[in-house]
Amino acid sequence: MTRKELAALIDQTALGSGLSEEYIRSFCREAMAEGFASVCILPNMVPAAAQVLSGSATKVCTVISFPLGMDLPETKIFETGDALQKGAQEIDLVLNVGAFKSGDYSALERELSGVIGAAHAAGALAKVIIETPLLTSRQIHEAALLCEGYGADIVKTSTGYRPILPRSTSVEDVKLLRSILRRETGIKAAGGIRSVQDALRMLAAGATRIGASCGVEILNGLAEQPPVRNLSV
Amino acid sequence: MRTATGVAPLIDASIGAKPAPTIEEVEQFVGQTVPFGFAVTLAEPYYIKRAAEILHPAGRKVCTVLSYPLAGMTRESKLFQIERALCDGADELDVSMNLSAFLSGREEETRDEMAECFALVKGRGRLMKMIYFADCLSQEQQKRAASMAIGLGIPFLKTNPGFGAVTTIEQVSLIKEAFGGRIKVMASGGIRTAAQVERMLDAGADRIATSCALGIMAEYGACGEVSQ
Repeated sequence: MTRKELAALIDQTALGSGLSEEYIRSFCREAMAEGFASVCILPNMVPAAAQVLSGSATKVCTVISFPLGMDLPETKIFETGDALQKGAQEIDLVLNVGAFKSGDYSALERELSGVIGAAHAAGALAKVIIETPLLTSRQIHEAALLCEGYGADIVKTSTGYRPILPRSTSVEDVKLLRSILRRETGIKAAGGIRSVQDALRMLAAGATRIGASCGVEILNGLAEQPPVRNLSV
Repeated sequence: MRTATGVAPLIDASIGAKPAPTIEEVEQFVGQTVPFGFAVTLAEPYYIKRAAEILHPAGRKVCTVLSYPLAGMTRESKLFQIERALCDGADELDVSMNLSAFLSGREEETRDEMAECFALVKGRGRLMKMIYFADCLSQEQQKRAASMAIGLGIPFLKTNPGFGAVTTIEQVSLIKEAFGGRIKVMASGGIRTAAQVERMLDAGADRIATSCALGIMAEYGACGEVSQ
């Protein structure tokens, strides 16, 4: 796998609070040069990112109701429409895991169909974050199918927001998702992926996208790897 | 040391450590806060309505958090989120200022956005606190943020969101010494014990936000019979 090939599978991520617009612009320029699949940023940075990335292959990705997902469906739908209007091309929605664990399927239906519908109507990719570190295997199974059923293009493992999570995304999470989801449904592994080894293991387990804030370090690590010929192990 | 009866009305109680609580967990927590007479019980936007159904008949108040905890929402989304919170019955709203804009030197934009949020909240007769992320700011910036809020007539500052930020006595006394009684300050972030509550109140904090409210009340020796 070449540097460019790996970059095209990574959402280069900057979701910390208080990052300046100047920092984000610079971040986007670097991401574009590397050929990352997308830049993943907070919604109020979408206009700046869209400006820098205009016309490039690197997409503008933003997060909805991040990181807690504890908003009303209407707020998530509004936030999605607002982001799309400002140039977001990929939407990572944080599922209301509290509603999911409570069995509030009415709220889940409204948020999933509303957000995914809005994204697709604008030609944008819809990913849903199910937060695997907070779920049992059975819950991961159910949540994944729920999201796929409402048309999610990609199921994303985790927000990676450490203050609330007991662990990082694991290879087992990705394998479980791959065993449950249709082949056409993508899997984004995110949360605690720091090294090229982490990234390659996730891809080998069936991930089709990687979310990481250490994208450049991951690419740099590739040079030290033995050549990877076959990822279908 | 102060008493439970004296301190409870100064506390914003949040469920804290449990991410993604179920409705049952929220109902249980909210119900547990009722007898103590806290200033408010916190609920995430999705749970405001349910929390209000429990708290309002008991004469208690619900508070929520907006563009939280990363301050990354756009102006339009924040206003929408606030509007929905008001409709669902939030009595107090803790709103993050646009930290990125502020740190990028776009203070006028930050102020205008805060003014719009405040107009919305004030127009419905509820109380707004501005979260200014003291942990991320120099002392000079903290004072500028406070000054901005005072200029807009915002009555209350909240030092930090939860989730790892730690509020210090210095952050509280900085604002109290510079601005006196012109604005209230809620100390928020990392306050877990009665001893910490005492120190913050001694430093001049007007309120304390904590996810350990029930434990703190136990330390003060309250048995859930402090209601007024």
